[in-house]
Amino acid sequence: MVTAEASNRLRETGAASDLRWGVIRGVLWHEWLAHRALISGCAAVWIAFVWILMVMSGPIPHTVFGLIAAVAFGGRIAGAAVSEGSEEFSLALPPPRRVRYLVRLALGLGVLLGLSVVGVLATMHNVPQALWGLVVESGFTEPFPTVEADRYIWAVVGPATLFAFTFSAAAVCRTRGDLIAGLLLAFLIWGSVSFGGALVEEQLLYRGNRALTMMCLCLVGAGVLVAGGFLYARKEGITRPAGASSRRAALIWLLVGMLALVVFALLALYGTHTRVVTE
Amino acid sequence: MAELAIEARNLRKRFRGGVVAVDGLDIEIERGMVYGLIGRNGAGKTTTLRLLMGLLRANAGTAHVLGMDMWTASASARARVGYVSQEQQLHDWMTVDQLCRYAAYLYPAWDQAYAEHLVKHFGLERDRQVGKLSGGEKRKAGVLVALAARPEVLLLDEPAANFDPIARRELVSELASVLADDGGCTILFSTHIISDIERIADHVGIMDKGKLVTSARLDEMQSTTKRVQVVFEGDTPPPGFRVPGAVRSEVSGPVVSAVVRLERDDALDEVRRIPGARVQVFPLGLEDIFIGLFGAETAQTMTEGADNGHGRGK
Repeated sequence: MVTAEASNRLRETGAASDLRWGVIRGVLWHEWLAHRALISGCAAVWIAFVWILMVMSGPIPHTVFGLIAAVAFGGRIAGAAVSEGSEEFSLALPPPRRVRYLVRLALGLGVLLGLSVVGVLATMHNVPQALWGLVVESGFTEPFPTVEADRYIWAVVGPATLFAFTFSAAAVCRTRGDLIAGLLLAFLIWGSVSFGGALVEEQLLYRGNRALTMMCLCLVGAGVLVAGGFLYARKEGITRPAGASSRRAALIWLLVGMLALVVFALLALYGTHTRVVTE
Repeated sequence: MAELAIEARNLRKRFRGGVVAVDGLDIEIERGMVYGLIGRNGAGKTTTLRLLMGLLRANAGTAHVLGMDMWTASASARARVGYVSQEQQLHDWMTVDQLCRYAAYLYPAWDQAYAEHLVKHFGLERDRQVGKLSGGEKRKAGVLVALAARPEVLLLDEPAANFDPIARRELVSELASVLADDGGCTILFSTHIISDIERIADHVGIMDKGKLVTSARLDEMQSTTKRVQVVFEGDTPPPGFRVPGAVRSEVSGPVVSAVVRLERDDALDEVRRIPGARVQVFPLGLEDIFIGLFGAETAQTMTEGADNGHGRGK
């Protein structure tokens, strides 16, 4: 009997760890296959903007690019099965939920951090311009204006922590509607912590480098990832009992609305404060 | 007692909103059994299979497959169990070939030669994306993955629900050939089509309102469940007369017709001894048993599904 022999062989030879690696390789291969267009597209834009066109020549473009990539990676990599409607198939397969969550997290965060860290370091040290100088006379003889390191650090920390929020939100969602609302909610929570933290830091502590805010965001982001992993491990296959989904969606949208108001209020305060300081 | 492949005790699942889908279910399925779980739509069959597979968490009770709680089972344990869900949603962007390759990573007993045989047998195109397959073909792809993984236990939730009658017959034949190839595989499948059960199951369980109403060997159920007709000499049966073991009975003038469970051979001797009573016993097919248990209307929906293709594949 094939199956009994296979399982006995598995037990006898202690091949369980091989299977574990096989499962991890399988999930990784699957995730790459599913998201290769998104990852390759982001990498192509990043190469073009950082190394060829040199559009991303300061912390702000890096931050903007990173934030967009964080939302796209988080929502797509963690929420793909939900948006495709294939989650029950995935959850019925051998990889436990924990493995699935960790492999996706490693892929998404790894690619995002890889792109942003390398890009930021290259820009900070003017590497693209120096390299182009070997090939053509660019006309730029001076490095780009020096910017404080904390802004570059923010260009890495900001997107990475936003990814933690969007990834966790997408992983615990159960329907497409929840997924959209969840991503928006994650962005707004991240925005409130970021802008609220920066505001408090500047107004009360008179510090402009956002070091405390970044530390706070890293801690909260790590906590959100742990909580997301815990909830994902307890997540049931998709079922739609009458009324449950619509109530949850309504609650999420209510939270989205309230948080949007908080973020706009913080932004307004932040803008007023900056204007007063400038004047 | 033979080793159990599937075991659930006092299993209960209540969804938010108050719907109790499974209500104190007890089920025991021995290794090597082909067990057909039948019941009308909404009886709790799908929820039971999802609970067994660890896709849902039970509110109470236990569910074990191969002695393991599938909710917490490791990858190596889960790889011994195959599952095809009712609304099989595979990854649309994958080709059939990629689907097989993905499954091969995950199942140590994956049988590539058998997978290729099934691809040909089901008439699937290897390089075609799953999203571009018809509804019936998608279901075949799901069944292919489940079968080629050579599981020790296979759970199939309405495996031929979207098939036309010819495709349904093919799939059922394929399942029968799997059983012939590998008699050790335990199969639990749910259906609401009686003919599916008759073709391949050796045991049958009937679910109603989240409970297992009855569970027995198919031949045993057919041999013990009979239609009994008692004709009395007068205009009406004696007052308070009841056929022993009757599940359902009708009285028409002096004739009492009943579907009965005959646990003992001498169960009707008491009736035979009534003066002027003529007792006739008729064998019943599975469909008649269902009519006896659930009424004609429900049993009709269970047979119509097979006759008219029940949502032909798109």
